[in-house]
Amino acid sequence: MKKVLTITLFILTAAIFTTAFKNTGEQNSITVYERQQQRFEDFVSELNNFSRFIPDNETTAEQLQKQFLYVCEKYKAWEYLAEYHDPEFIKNFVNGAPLPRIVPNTANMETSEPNGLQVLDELIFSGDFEKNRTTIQIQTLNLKNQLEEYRMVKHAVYDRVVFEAVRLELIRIFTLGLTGFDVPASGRSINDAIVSLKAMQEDLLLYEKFFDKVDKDKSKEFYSTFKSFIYYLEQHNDFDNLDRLHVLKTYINPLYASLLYLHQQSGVEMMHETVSKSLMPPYNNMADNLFANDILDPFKYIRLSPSLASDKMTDLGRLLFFDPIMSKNLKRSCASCHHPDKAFTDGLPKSTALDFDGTVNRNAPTLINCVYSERFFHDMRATSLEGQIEHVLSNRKEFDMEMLDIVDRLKESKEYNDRFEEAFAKYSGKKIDPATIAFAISAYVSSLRGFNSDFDKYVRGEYVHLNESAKRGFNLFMGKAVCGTCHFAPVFNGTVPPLYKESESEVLGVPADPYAKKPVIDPDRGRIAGRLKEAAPFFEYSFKTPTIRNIAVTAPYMHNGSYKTLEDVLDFYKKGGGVGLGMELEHQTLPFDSLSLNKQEINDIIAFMKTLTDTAGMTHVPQTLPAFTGHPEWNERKVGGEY
Amino acid sequence: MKKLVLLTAICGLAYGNANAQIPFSVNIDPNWSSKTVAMPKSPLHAQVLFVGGVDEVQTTATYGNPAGSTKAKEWHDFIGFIKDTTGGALGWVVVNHEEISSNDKIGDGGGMTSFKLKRTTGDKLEVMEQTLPDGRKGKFFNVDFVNTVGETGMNCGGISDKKHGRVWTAEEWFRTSNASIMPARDTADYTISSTDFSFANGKTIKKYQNYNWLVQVDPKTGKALRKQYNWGRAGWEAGVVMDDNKTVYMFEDNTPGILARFVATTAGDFTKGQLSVYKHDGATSKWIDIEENLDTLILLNQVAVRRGATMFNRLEWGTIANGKLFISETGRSSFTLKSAGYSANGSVSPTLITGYKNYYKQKNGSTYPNSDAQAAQDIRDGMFPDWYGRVNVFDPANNSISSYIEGGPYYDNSTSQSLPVYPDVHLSNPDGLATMTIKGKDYLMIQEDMNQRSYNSMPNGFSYERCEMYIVDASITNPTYKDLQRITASAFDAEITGAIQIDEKTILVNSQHPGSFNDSPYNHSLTYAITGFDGSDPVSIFKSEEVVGKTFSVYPNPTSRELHMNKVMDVAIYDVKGQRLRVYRQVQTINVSDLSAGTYFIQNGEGETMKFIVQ
Repeated sequence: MKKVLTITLFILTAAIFTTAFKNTGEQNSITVYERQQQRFEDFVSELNNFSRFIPDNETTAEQLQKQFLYVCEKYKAWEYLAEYHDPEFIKNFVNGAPLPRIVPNTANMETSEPNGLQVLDELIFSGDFEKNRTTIQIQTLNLKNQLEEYRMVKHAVYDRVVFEAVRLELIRIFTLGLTGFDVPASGRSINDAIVSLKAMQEDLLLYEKFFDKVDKDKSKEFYSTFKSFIYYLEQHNDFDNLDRLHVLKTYINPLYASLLYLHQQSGVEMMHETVSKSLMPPYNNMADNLFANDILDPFKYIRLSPSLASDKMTDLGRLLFFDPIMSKNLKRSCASCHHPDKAFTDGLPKSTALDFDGTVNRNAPTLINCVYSERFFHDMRATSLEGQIEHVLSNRKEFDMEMLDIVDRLKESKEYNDRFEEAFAKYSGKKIDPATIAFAISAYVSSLRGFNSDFDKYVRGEYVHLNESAKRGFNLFMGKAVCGTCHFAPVFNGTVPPLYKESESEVLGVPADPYAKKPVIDPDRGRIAGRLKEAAPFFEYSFKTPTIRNIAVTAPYMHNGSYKTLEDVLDFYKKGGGVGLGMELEHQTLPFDSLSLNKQEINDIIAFMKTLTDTAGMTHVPQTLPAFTGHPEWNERKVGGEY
Repeated sequence: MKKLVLLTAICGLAYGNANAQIPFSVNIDPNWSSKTVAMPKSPLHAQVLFVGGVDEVQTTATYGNPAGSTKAKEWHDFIGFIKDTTGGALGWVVVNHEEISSNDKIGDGGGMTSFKLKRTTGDKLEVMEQTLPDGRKGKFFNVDFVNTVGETGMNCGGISDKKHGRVWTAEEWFRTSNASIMPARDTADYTISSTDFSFANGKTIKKYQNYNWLVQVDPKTGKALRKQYNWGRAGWEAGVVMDDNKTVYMFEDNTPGILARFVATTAGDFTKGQLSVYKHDGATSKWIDIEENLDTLILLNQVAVRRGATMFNRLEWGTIANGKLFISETGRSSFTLKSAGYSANGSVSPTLITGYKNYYKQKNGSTYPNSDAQAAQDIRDGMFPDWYGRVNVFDPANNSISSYIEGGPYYDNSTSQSLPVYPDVHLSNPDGLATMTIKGKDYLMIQEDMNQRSYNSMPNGFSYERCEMYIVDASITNPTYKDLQRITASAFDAEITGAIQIDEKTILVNSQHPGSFNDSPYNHSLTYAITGFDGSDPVSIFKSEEVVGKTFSVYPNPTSRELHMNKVMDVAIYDVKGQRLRVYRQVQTINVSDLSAGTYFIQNGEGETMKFIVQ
């Protein structure tokens, strides 16, 4: 009876406050939804206003620039939710990089010229206005048309969406905004960040009372940090001198962590409660720091699934990595070109080929943190780490083996049979098989990861000392020297924040021999010859953007290993890449003609890059290799291969 | 217990006052619920048959290499099926590989794999060991193009003429130069040797001009039979052979794309007959005849449009159901129909005009005010962003075509309170299309291949795509998205394609180019069977007992693994301990396919809870 009463009581209570929910309504998210619609309309109408100035002969370049900045401000207020709702639309038509792109899922290979604000930014701020007038007009019309079409697309706003979108925008502001990534010419990035932060602040203030009830102290701290961040940027609105390290440590990371905390504690549903795990982006919404070790999910980049992966599989992969049984002449292993003591590079411009038949075609890249990439190889031809492995096995200059031949070999070793049996106990297919070999190596290679360098520890507050030169270097890297616009934090590679799903390649114009009197472009055509569906003219001489982590121990540099020192590499950028060296390169993608960096600044950047060394726990080499009783001659093979 | 309940209630109250939207407590009392919803086991079961990049195919001697075996190509697209009329097995299956790659043993360009299926105990299927006439032994066989009719560039769709036991393969990607057939090693001019076609026999063409023809293959011998030079060269995706064994309809994946027809002089002999292209507004005839001239046929698309053919926006697959021909038009955005020059002569398809008017109405909230001629002009001018495509219906009796169902989410009457993060049923870019007959009733199997993740094609805030296969009762004359039933979904970032019914029990389906992060083996392109359609009547496959509560009612769809509510609502799922697992906003259908068997609870926004058992 008592129970029945309780239940009745519950029903009654439920009925009462159900009504209460209805009456107080879904007001906060509705308010944000309505504001967001208004921000869209403001953006469109500012664009219309701007477009009226273009054909007017009275308009000066300065006036047009001023009007354009008003448009950008309206965009930036709309940005944080718009990017959350439809990043692909924003990238393709509104605020994508000013570079041509391949249109996916078409019947034939099709390319598309860039559209949007970044293209306009370049045309309005760096070109001859009179000459560009028609192009500016067409670009503006295109953008208007795209937005007009888009008006009918409606997006839901819920509390969860607001919190998640704000956190993503914090990463976007730090990695793409304050670095100048999306303002190729006007340099208005700090102002942009302020506009975006104010829009978010306005929306978050709706939740202040709600968060106060969740945790008064945290809530107070969150709102006051938000306010101070805006104030700080207003006081330091100077692109070249902004202390980005301070911004990261004092504002970005603390805000990023406390909003996660408040969201979690509030009971409002989280992203992972709304879709199945497989749909979640590589970016981990539950991490509390942009430089946290778990900010990216490695399993989003490889074929191996977390449910199948195990330490035993990683150990097996390590064994295969160091075992020359994989190569035709039994003298070479993966470690032949990827030495653990050089962060898995070999110190050579191009690695030695099988049977000393010259060299392979390109420089061996570091494997540490290589997992965080959408594509593999310098020409980006492989779409997974497992796929990459196969290319190496079958390459005549590398292992010169067929996968099925390796399977046959491995099956002859009892130890390998046992190890595969153990490592793939949960796997339904054949235990020694092309797929399991690739999985094991992938398990090992993807385990070579971590953000535990001095710099990472400093950012996370685990390590107090970072030399002043390195601090200045980071600020240059992420600002004035515009390195961070291609080498995106925190991996400092070409995997694009804030979702970290796509990887980029760049056309730099790397010479065949930079030390020649008159350097000429390296004949390697790069990405254009990688995948048929990407054989677009703008991918000629285009190469994957590598990580700069561990750069101190991975000389020589560039896809052809032609640069001996970091000083030389920076000098190349300073001069403006291949074009700066006098080459004709229609599609060079460096966002600058040349860089004005003095000797001290170059040394600072190098000092910063040298704080990114971290190979701890990754250099373990197996002592022995599995035996093959039927082939005593095979048992002579050396760990890591002979050369 | 009392304490817990009250505590929950109080927490709820706190949120209710301070917060914005209907809160679902993180925990609920797991013992309290009045009704039980049971999700029966799916009447269907899936079985993986053929995994690209993993299974071995037997190859013929090619490019100077001896016959042998190698791993199959990936990117499974079309499936063709020929019944074994002797009854010894179910029949022969061929799978197209859309993957373009150079391969010493399989051949450059695309590829195709053949295998033979039989049914064993418990409705399981088995791929049989075979010895082919050329001596190859094994389970999977590479279909030899290189040594028979010349390579294909890729293998996308095709024609599976189940009734008469024939299969053709197609390659949509239209080649325009020898550079565009990379990575083919052989770019020497090609001399046609085919006594079936006297107008072409002995003529020498550029190598790339030997691509993009429909190619008939023989699944039983693992060999290509002939390139169908008399059907014309275009970006063909697929076709359909009609019951008369004389008429073939062909669909071009291009913008503009054409609809063509071939009528054989003698039933069953497709080497002689009349080729025509469709012009819906033709004054005297709706078909424009095309002469049997190799130069004309090599550039069929341009010739057809110059002569006024109807222009579509990427036709894909077709199928016959209830005597009508259904054809998917997958769409593409940002297109115009005058930039190509010759398209000025073509006619804009009435299906695009329907799509444009639908878009206009949703965008502006009012009906398109102008004439169809003006609508066609607007489309030519690039004013129709055809984001989601459609399925069309063509009536062979009167040669008329119209839009059957438009893709896309529907925003009619939506407000900020009623928008879901992801529209629960959302047809994007229909591509593969086939008929499934259950107990004499025809259903269309509509398979998606998304062109974008944009425009609400996928949930906001997430970055992968998932294509789904829906079925719809083909006897419904004006279906809406509510008539679509989800049968299966692909692995993430994969396209779902190739579905074909092989008998009353089973359909075969391909999952193509999935993301590498999917669980093995679903991270490879693969062919799988779904069996169990003969179970009971068609209705119970999609609907089990409805449970009526005080504030909402719900019925499970055991096949699609979805719960259907009687209205759009907020709903949460809790586990057996009362811990919150999922929260959905403004949905009428929720996908619970990833919940393992066990006890759960569902609660709606009004606080009513039902026990939910997954069997």
